[in-house]
Amino acid sequence: MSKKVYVTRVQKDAAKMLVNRSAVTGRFVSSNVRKIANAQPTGASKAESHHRTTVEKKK
Amino acid sequence: MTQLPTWAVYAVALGTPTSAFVGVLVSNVLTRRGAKELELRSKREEVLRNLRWAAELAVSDDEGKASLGLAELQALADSDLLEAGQKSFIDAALEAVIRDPKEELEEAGEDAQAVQLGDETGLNDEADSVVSSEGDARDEGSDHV
Repeated sequence: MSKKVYVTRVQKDAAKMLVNRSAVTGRFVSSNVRKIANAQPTGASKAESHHRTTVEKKK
Repeated sequence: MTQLPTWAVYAVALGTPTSAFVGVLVSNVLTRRGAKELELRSKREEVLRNLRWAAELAVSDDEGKASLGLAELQALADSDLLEAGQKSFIDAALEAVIRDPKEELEEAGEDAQAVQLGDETGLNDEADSVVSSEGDARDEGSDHV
């Protein structure tokens, strides 16, 4: 089973900023930073996640 | 009595005030340019102070302060006051924020996955409610922003 690394919302937001900035600056961002940026909330199940995505698409 | 040629009389009569005017104009332009440079330098100093403050906030253990720091860093990244070289300080601050989980992920290997902890402060809930109320206001055709 893969190990889970827990990140806070702030750390996730910081990783997102780094990923977004890399698109502008062209700076390399490691896969681990992308993992942090795409971290799923602990409370959100797959069904919830799918529901949210579907709702966002509809909007 | 000394007599001047006509052209010399005209030159003195018109040239003196004209050259005085041009001198004052050049002096004002130079003074204004100096003032602008001083203002720009003051702004840059203030922006760098803000950058340092934002970076310190971003690595704070308090989630509220850290969020404020991130928002400040984002604002500084979007502003034109920082040069490209200075914006690398923003990346350095962001790297510092995610250093611990990044190292853990590196140690855990490729299979490791990142999971976001629940928001204990309830800030996410507030943010969600703000977004939904804005959406409702828009739907109702309200002028509130």
